[in-house]
Amino acid sequence: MEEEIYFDDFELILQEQVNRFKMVPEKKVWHGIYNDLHPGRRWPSVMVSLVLISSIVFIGNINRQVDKKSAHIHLQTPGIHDGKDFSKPGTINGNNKLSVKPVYQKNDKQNGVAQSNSGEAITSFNKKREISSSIDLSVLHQKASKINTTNSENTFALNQTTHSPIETSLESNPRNKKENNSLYDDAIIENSMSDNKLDIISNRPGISLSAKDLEISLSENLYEKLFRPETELIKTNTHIEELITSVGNDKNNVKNNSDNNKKAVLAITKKRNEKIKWVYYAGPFVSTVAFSGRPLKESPNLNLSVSPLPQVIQKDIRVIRNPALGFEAGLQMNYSFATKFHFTAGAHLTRSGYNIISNLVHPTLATLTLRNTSTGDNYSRNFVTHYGDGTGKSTVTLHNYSYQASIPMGVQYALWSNDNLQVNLAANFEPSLVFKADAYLLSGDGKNYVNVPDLMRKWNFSSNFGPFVSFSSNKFRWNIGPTVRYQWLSTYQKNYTVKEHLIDYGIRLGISK
Amino acid sequence: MTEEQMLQGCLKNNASTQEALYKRFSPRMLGVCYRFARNREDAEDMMQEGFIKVFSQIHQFRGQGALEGWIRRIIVHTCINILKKNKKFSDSVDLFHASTLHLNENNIPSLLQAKQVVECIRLLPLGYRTVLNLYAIEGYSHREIASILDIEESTSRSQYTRAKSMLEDILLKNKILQQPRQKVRMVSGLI
Repeated sequence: MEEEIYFDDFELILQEQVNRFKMVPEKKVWHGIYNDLHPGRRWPSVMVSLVLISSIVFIGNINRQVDKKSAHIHLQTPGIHDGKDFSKPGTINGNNKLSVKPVYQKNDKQNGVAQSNSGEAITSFNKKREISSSIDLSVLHQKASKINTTNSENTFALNQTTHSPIETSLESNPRNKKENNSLYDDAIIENSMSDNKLDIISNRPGISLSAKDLEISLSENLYEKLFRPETELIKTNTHIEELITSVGNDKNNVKNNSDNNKKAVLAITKKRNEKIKWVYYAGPFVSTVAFSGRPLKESPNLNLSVSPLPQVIQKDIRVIRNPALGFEAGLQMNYSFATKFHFTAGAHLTRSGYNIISNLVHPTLATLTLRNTSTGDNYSRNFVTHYGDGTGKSTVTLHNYSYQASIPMGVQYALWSNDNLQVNLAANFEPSLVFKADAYLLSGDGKNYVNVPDLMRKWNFSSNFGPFVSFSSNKFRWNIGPTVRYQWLSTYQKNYTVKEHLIDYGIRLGISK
Repeated sequence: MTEEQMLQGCLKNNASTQEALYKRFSPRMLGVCYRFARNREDAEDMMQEGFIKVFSQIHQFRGQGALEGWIRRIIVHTCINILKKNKKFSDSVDLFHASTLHLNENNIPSLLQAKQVVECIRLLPLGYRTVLNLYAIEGYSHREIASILDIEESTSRSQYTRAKSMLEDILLKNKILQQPRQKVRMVSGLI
């Protein structure tokens, strides 16, 4: 009896063929492995990031301090200091009367601490910090050798050891005391200065000053002049009365200037706020796309297990497509750095894309040929797809879209303006993160579409430009105008040879206070 | 660099040696992963996880057998574990589609090509594909497959039979396999 037996080499063929199959992995795979195996080697990059962040915070902090300083300088209005010396010896109580107490101090080491029942003037404020002072430190530092303020005891002590040109002048011509006391001309007097400010002042280099003690040192000559025997005391008292008047005036000035200072602070704050404006905007747009390049196709006659040569498709391949509706919404900060120019920065979300007209086909294996950017070799990816090139029946629409989060930075120029209306021109450049997307790409032979969202770039760059009209209405200011958005880099990664650039035409509506 | 040198370097956790080993074996291992995975990205993820295991367990390699075989087994086991964990792989291609799938005519070469065979394997449903990969290509026995996949041994056998039949059909239908069966006339006589 004869029997036909079939020898089946199925497994052998499979093993032989499959074991020849190789694929080149992306570089990111090794990077992932490396980072997992050597986590410690990520520290340099982490450290660099930390240093960068710290630097930015530090620079920001410095700039803020500079702002504070400049604001402080603005507060020195001329009316505050009109040559009156609030620190002259004498006591001011609530009624602006001077009380002379029979105690006086001398800090000279040779003379010891001299005390007298008659020739000493101690100025004291009955109310603690009724008039407190903040002093322009740079001027004081230049003009006065030492300033100590006793605040807790409310005492101005005169220091014999200190000699300064001002003090000499005081001695030589008492009438000029007021004028010469303009050594404190630049001092700022504030009624409501807090301990914090005193602390800040006392921490400045070169100045011996504390919130607790505010001692004003004058020359030995002045000291003697003020505290001479009784004959001189009359003169001194007269002089002190003058001082009372002047200090009283100072006090009034202080009150007036306190109000002025508050106004000045408000003005500065307002001015700064005026420089920065926040604009909320949103708008629809129509997305289209521009293609360049052609898909690669593998030659069917070549052995595909070796590196195939690219072959440009001879027939004209085109994607039948329709524009799609997109939108954008975001927040923008406008910073005015010149009369007509604004720097703009912000963040927004965008959805853009287009629709491909396709047709349903029987499940088909379609090949997408890609180019390895590092080696230049081509490789293929195969997909099972249901979508034809759109030339057949049973039409279906495929949506190529992307959601992007962008950080636009740019400039805005005011072309023309009047009280209510302003015409501007804006342009910006925006790095974008694609956080959700879908893409259908034409296969190498141009006959099918395959769904390959992973070929899309994660990061891209776009530009927005266009004019807009800005006008005021009640509390708000409205912006409206056309805008064009162009995507600079291809939607897809470099290994896909077709370049796709999205172009969006839309209307942007903005609102600000 | 020899395998021995690579082994020594990897045991010392030397990054450049690890990279050399990776570059030598990754193309073939990615091919292995690709047969199990739904797409290239999943295959790369599988391979990445597999190589991390390879480098972290390289001290367990005792030099018995080829290094590539040892790496391959780790990679395959990693693929299986990921497939078992990830339910999304089960909804790949249904049975009806698999039996009716055909390759685009322009892509059909006259000779049997490795790539086409792999692509045809990937058209199979997940269960069939996995059993076929393990039995016909990786050389596991049905008992081992049953143990790995937590199924009955008989299930593994039946799945393989069906997978083989389906793959033959696909290869024939797409004219990839010109001579899927070599007819050998044998004479057996009853004595």
